[in-house]
Amino acid sequence: MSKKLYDGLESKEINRIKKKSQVQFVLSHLFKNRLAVAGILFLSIMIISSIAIGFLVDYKVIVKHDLRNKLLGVSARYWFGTDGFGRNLFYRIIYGARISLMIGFVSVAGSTVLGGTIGSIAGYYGGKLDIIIMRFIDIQMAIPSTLFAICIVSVLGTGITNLLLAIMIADIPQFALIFRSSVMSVKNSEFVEAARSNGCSTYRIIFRHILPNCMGPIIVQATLNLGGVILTAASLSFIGLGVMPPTPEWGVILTEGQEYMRDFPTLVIFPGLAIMLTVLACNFIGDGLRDALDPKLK
Amino acid sequence: MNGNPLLEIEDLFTVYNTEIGVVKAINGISLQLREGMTLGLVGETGAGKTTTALSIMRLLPEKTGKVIKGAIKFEGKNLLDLDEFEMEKIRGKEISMIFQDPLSSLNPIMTVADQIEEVLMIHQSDKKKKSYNFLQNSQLFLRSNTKIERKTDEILELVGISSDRKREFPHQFSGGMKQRVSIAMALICNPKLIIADEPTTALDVTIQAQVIEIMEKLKQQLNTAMILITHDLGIVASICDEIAIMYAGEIIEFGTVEDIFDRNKKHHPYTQGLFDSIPRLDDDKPRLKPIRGLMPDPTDLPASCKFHPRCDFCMDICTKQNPLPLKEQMHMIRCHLYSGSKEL
Amino acid sequence: MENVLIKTVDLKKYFKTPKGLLHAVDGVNITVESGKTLGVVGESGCGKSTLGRLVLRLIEPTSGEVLLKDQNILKYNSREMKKYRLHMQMIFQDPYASLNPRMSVTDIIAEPLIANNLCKNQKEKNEKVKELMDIVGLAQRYSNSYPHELDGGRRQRIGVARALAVDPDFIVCDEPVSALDVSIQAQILNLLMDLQDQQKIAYLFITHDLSVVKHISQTIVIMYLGQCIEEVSNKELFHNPLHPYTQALLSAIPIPDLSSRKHPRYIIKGEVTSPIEPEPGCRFRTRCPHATTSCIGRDIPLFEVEKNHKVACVLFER
Ligand SMILES: Nc1ncnc2c1ncn2[C@@H]1O[C@H](COP(=O)(O)OP(=O)(O)OP(=O)(O)O)[C@@H](O)[C@H]1O
Ligand SMILES: Nc1ncnc2c1ncn2[C@@H]1O[C@H](COP(=O)(O)OP(=O)(O)OP(=O)(O)O)[C@@H](O)[C@H]1O
Ligand SMILES: [Mg+2]
Ligand SMILES: [Mg+2]
Repeated sequence: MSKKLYDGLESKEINRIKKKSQVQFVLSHLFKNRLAVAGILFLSIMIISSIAIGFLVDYKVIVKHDLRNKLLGVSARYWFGTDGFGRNLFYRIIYGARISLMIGFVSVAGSTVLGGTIGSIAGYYGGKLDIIIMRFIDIQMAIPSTLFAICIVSVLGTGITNLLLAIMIADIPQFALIFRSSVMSVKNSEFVEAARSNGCSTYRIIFRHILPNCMGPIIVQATLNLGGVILTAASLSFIGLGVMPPTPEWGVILTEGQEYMRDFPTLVIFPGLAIMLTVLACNFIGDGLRDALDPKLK
Repeated sequence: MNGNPLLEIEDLFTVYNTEIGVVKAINGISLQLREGMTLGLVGETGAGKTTTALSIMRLLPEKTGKVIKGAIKFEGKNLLDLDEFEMEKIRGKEISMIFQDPLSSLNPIMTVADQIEEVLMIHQSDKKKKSYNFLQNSQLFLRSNTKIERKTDEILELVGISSDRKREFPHQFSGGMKQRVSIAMALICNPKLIIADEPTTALDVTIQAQVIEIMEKLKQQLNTAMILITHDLGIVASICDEIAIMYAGEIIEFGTVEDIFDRNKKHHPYTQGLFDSIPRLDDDKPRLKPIRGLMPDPTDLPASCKFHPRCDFCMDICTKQNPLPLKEQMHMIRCHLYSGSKEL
Repeated sequence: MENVLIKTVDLKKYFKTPKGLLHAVDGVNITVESGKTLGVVGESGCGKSTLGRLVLRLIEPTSGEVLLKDQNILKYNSREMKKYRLHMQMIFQDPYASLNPRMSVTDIIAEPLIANNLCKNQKEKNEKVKELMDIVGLAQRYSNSYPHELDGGRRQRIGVARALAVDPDFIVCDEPVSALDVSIQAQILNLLMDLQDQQKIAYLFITHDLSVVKHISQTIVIMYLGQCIEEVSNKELFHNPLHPYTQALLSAIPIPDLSSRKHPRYIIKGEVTSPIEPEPGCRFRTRCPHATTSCIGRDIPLFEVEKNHKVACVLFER
């Protein structure tokens, strides 16, 4: 059985090529993109400092009113000054990153998984199931997602959990659509048929053969959405439908600063910058990933 | 011999920069193609045929593929100097390409008719020197809708697909039908030069004959020139005027069909091997005779003759020096076997 | 015919299309003997790949039976079907599309082993893969490569190795060499023939290239628009083709020398019958030089003209 049939040079070739795995490959391309690297750096600093602040500074300090020190300017003690209640704005913004990023990551992960499941089922099985699912998605797509989130929050009530749920549900159709179209364009390919003829189960076909081939657009969409979600969360909190004061969420900080905007513009500029830079960082990473995952590069 | 030179390739070098090193895909090829002529480009997988075509079309993968030396002159203009906008005007209208892989050149979620109509519309709106104004385009679309549809039906019938089936998606077509659709898309714009990358591999002989006939008609009526990339020497024999045989990014033999197919003339040992490995109808031996071994690693090509590790006539000099081309009129061979004499 | 491995009985597959039912495979009876090769030849779009998929039950037929050693596999449930798949594998037409671009060579070849729980641990898997790569002549250094880094010939070898992984008795080869150049094609064909000698594998060899089929198969079936129109032994086909379509097919082969340039190419004239709800009658009649009124109105069955030579044409009806 193991007799060599082929009379070529093939076996004489030495194993001299050391190969990178695909993950390494994508990362090495990502790191060549300056903007993406800047985005990654910024987000990492945000994440690390927001975690560190939990150990370095007592939460009470962050929320406790200290009216003697209110509305101080930028100084060595208060890097971003203090707000209308005398709290350290820098601490609040860094601590706020915790909440904003948590909302962002959890809700994007949730909507990817849920939307992915729905979309993959619709795309893989097709037929009537697909039509039914798609009609529901069409209906939801007709409502702008921020508006949709507002509706859900008004029904469920405010609070971090509800905000998270609302944003997650509002984003499901987008992911379902992407998963559906990627699955549809991959499922008719010959290698999927080959997998079936090899006796792979449906589960294995979807998870091992189809989904890895659609990961590119999905990862990109997820990073891009991360920015959008942080923005939505901030705006919902800003209009009083999301996180409630005194929790230091960026939207909340903005609302609180709004009163003093004319005389103390730093109170809105700093949280505004935090939101803007984070969203920008997510978009840069998303764009970088899009290029790095482009199969034409290989 | 008719026609002025349409396409001239001068000493072209193309590489791919990859993780595992620099892939030297094309190593100095020079070609000339006159109007109305058909050039056959023959060679093993990995010889660099597709890369040659992509270099001409300027469609090499952006980040990895690169022309490092040489010139590609189309009607006197060096294509390598044009900017992307000028190149877009040439692609599809002056030069069109039939891609090797029909699956990846068709959009899986658009019907076949939509894809052909799209090409027609872009072409038409351009011909009338209309700018890409969305409104204008849509008006044009309304007016000539039926005309475009008729043209689509016509072109599909031409490649042997009944127009009943144009509203289907690519995955509902068989392998050969997809290939025919991509041929149809390349033909509709009446280009001056067609680059056909293995256009007939999935087609059976009767349809192959039809497709070849369409191409020949085109060649006669519109004086279209063609570069036909193929490994089917039968097709090469029936429609090409000139043949270039490629190996590891070099042209190792070039000549008119008469030169190449005349078995009494001198040939490169690789050409000989190619002819020997064709399964023949008039021969009853079941075992075929492939050329032994495989193409050398393109990241690490020998500096001497690239074919020597597989050559049955390998001599000492073959491992040391790259042979120079030897010419006799059109016929050119690069091989040390014949380098004793000044001419072939 | 004592050694029948696979047999189809009146196999049909109709696809729904916007314009009506498309008769992709319409009443095909074929027999594959163990250790032998049955060649299937026909025009592009005539239903060859569909037939191959039906035999492996990758798609469900509209009607008909597929018998594996007299067992109708269409009656099997999915668990029994999984067992049956171990006997039969497929090699695909397109070496580019049939390999998962995100899996390494080792993973691709090991996939059937893992899917069917045929190897107990990692070590056993790696050994088996190594053995398979040796058999098909792929150097070990490619074991961690991805398909897009390899050329067509090596990719098709991966496809062959994957099909061999479960020790099948029967392989459907769907145009395994048509995308490869002649010298690689010869290598793969030789490999397939050697494997048949050593492991007694039966092939259903689908191709449009008559010179390839001549080298590899004992019996040849010619298909036209979903129907089998001639079934003949290898020798007979090239010496005595009977059906007008077969004759046209043979005369259209481009010959790799210059003699073909002198006399004009033979091109079948006439409208191609649409495969969508065709009327009963010979489907080639619109392009046939010998067509008469007797070709219309009823389907023409296969007649045995001589031993091992059947044809479906009124010209030979007794
Ligand atoms: N995108 C790419 N990145 C890296 N190397 C490539 C790429 N495309 C082609 N190559 C390499 O360049 C060489 C020439 O490839 P090319 O596709 O031009 O060959 P070909 O003659 O068209 O072969 P085939 O008959 O298989 O189509 C090969 O060694 C191939 O591996
Ligand atoms: N999933 C599908 N849905 C609808 N029609 C299909 C589907 N698959 C195949 N067909 C049709 O069935 C017919 C036979 O297709 P098949 O792929 O079997 O042809 P083939 O003989 O393999 O051709 P080729 O030599 O070009 O590969 C074609 O007309 C094709 O369009
Ligand atoms: Mg190529
Ligand atoms: Mg097919």
